Amino acid sequence: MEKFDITLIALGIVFSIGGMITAVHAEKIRSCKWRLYYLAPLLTGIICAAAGGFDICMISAYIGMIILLAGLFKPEKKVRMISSVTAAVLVITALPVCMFSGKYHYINYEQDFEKGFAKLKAHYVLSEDKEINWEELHDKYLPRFRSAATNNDAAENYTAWTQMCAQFNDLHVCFSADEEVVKEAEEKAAGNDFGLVIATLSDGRTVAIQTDDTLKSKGIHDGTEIISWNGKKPSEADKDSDYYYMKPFADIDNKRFYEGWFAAGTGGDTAEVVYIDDDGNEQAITLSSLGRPYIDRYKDAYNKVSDGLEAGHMSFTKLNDTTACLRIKMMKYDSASENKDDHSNMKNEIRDSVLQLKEEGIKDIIIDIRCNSGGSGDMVLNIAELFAPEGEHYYVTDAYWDKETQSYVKQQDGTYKTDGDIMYSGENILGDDGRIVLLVCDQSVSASDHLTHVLNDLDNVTVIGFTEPSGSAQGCSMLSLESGMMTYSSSLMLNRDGSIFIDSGTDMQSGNGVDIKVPFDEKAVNEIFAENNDYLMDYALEYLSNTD
Amino acid sequence: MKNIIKAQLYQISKMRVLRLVALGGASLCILIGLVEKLNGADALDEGYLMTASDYCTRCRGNTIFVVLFMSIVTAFICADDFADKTANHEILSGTLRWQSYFARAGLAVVISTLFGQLMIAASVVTYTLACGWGDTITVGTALARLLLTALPFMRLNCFFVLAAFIFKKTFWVPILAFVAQTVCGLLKVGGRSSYLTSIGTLNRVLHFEKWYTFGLRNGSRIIYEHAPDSRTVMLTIVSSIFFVVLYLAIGCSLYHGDDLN
Repeated sequence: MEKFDITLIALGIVFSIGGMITAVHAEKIRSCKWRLYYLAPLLTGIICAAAGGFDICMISAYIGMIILLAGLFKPEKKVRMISSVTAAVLVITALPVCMFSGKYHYINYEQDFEKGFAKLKAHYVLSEDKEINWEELHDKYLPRFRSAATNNDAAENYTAWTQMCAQFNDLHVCFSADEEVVKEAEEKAAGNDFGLVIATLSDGRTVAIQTDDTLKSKGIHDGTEIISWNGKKPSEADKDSDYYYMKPFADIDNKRFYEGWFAAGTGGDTAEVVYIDDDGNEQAITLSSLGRPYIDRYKDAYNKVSDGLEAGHMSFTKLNDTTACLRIKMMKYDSASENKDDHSNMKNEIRDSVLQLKEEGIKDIIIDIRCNSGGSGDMVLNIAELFAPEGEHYYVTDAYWDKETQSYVKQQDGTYKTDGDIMYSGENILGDDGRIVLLVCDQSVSASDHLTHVLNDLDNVTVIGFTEPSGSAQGCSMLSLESGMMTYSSSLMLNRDGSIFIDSGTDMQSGNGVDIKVPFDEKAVNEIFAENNDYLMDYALEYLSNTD
Repeated sequence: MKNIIKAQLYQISKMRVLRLVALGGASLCILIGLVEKLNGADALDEGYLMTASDYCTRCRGNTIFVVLFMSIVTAFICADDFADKTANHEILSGTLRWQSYFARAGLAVVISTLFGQLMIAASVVTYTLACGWGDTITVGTALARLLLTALPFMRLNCFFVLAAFIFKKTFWVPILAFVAQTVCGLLKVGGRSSYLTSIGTLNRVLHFEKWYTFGLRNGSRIIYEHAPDSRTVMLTIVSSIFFVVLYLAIGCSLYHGDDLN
């Protein structure tokens, strides 16, 4: 129970007992001042309820505190005794009600959804471009929130929010909640662990990855081809997983890359698996759940495929004699860059480090923005300025905001009215011989999408990844709800012609791409899961050495 | 009761302390209105200019002074007559207690509420004259919010009336006002519980829901949602009426049985 509610109940009991004692004492020593005693519980009750939060389960305690006021209005012993006893009973009643009621400090998830949905509908900036059908979305998800409210189920509320957000195909539309709630919801949604994750190779075959040692004796190991899961193709079995509907993808190619990844958590306690054994024969086997949640195995596999170099944020790591890696985990550097958009410290440090590395013989830089969660667009601008060839370069175009209508202006041809291009001047700190490789993954979001787009336009940059970056690049805002925090795209970023910058429309094709899409093949699976290597980094190094 | 009100009005018009309070309040409002201008709010770049409509969206911080001034006015109207025994003489000369009580309480609530609203209005007018109105919110929106503050102000003043009749000393009421504001600030009252305290309700009424858009060159724009939602308005009205009645009833009951000692 909340500390202020416990305080209120404790004080309520004390005031009730005090009320009885005062009733007797006031008969002996007559004074109008005794009446003030019966005012104190009300004021104390208001303070406790205001501080701890009004709760319907505490209603009997609140009434008890109010009933003690009877001793003020009717200064008679009998009234005071009866009101004090009644108050004590009512206050004590609140204790079991709070302890055993599922509604104690209950959040009305349905109301919370209605509030968040209304704001999202009013402020989501890509509504027209993504052709969001708000009514349909509302009608589809309202019963889920209603059910979460009825069952007071925070995990179900989180799942419903996340699944609804995923429908926007925009990684900026997302919902965050308490860590415990997220864990519970994801564990429930992802299903049971059977000892493997199924991934789709570039040639379309589906294979086991992140395989548990217990499956090796059964003939399944990393790279074993999986034909079906519970009688379905893995990409079809995906759809039986609640977690599949919680993962957002802005780009259809990225979504396809993860086909099959959700399948191996579906089913009950057992799963019927058909696979190709090492001799090339088709085998069927019934796998039993390992009694663990699938989400942990899924995340381990995901991190191995997508995570960047294990190095400090904004740190340089020498990879060989001629190449160093700049690891950027987010588009934030220090408090000045985060709060005042002053990136001079970051810029000076990168410049000094690169010049120092050049003196040591480094020619090429790999900028690793895999799983970069985004941040400041100005930081992107400053990084681009350092590495771009000398001269003027284009970054992005601001959208025109109409103060009268409080909205962006969409023109008849479907483009938006622009409000000035953002240009920058290149410093070319790496010199004309220097090359840059940018490593991305599907979780290179927002400002890292910007960086990919900006650097991709430069001749000295090659973008490499298994997938494209996320494809979500509009400015985003946050909305605080009772059950969590929602973010959404609220500020338009445009191309020169007034079309949407990077974000995909209904075709789910983002305006961001990679120069080299590294095949996710048997070699990649072996390097990543058997050898524990950073395959993408090795690929980039090989690319630089081969194109020397 | 009519005569008591007349006598109180006469007393208020002659009371030097209240004149000083009015003068102090007016000076403070003008200072608040001018402080941004003196800080160069009108000389910022376009898009960053601070105007009176911006001030309206964040004026709830200044209500701390307004509440203190209101408590002083209420205290002098309700409690000052206990110091020179005027209230005792009134009762001895046959005036009913409830008449004595409601004449003072009613007058104190009306005058203090008006005083509070005038203080806010004065600072907004000064700000407008100094920096212009701007376009953050409309005049109608600001006026609607200002009028709605009358309800939590009335509720707060009823609480001060109760305190004045309990303490019977003028200086305790502003002290209580200060303590109440500090406690409410420390407790961070919010959400559904805002309506349990008048300060919380006042904050709720003067809170503008907002959201942001931004561009890389143009910086961020804050967009305010002008009107308070119907739930806020309804709960403000209901909670204010409930507590006005409760505080006045408690005060009347206490005064009714008071030995005026």
